[in-house]
Amino acid sequence: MNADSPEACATSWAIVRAGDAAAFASLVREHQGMVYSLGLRMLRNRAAAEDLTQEVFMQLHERIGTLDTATHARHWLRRVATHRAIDQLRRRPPSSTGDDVLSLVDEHDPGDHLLAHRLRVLVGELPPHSRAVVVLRYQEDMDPSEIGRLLEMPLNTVKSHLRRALEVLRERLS
Amino acid sequence: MTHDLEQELRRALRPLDPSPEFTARLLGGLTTARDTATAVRRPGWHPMALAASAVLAGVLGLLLYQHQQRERAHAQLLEALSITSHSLDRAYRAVHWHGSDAGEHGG
Repeated sequence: MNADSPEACATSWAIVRAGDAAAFASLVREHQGMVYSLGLRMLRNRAAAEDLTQEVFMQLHERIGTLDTATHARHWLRRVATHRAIDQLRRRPPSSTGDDVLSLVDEHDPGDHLLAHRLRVLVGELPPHSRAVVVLRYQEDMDPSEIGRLLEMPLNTVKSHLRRALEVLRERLS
Repeated sequence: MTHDLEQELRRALRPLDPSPEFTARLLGGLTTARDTATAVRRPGWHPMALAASAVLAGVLGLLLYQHQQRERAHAQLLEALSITSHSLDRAYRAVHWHGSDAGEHGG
């Protein structure tokens, strides 16, 4: 049986749901980068991003039995991480930008590190919902209709957030 | 320009993994949480068992009480029938005695 076949996926998901610790650890390793990066881009603070990641995976551990597939779990993780980050920003805006976080670079990335750093700073200055839309669009490569469903936001509102955010980023870069 | 900016955003917002130390802490925390949940769940059977025993004892007590009530009613009914039988017997004898007495006087 091919490891990527639907049957193999269903079997490995059943093992995760049955409470197998090694299978759950593997699930955490697979998705932690996505959850942590969402937290980091939204909250702009490494410790806050780590706390958010921990809380989201604890919640996943409790709810694992309610999720039918690995795809459903990935969608659930994105949704919960994003909503938690937005709620946290509403309750307690970050006290500092945390330049160490914003300057984190991918060593293998051949692109312009200064531009990437500047863009991360500017994305971090967008209002929470616009920031979430931009992060989901460009970090997670989600299309606007998927973002609308995840954020419970009309499609036109998502498009408007995206258009406005790109205008703001372009203006500030110039 | 829009295309370039979007490409640059994809590059700038590429997902990053947390540090290996954080991953180890996270997995350790999950193991602890699972163990705690298991430990908390196990004694949870005791209150359930106690509650089930209390309900069972209540039901048995009620059945026993109803059985005793039925036995008492049955005994009372037998006594009442016995008294009635004696009374009827006595009345019959009295009537029979008066009847035979009148026959002797009349003959």
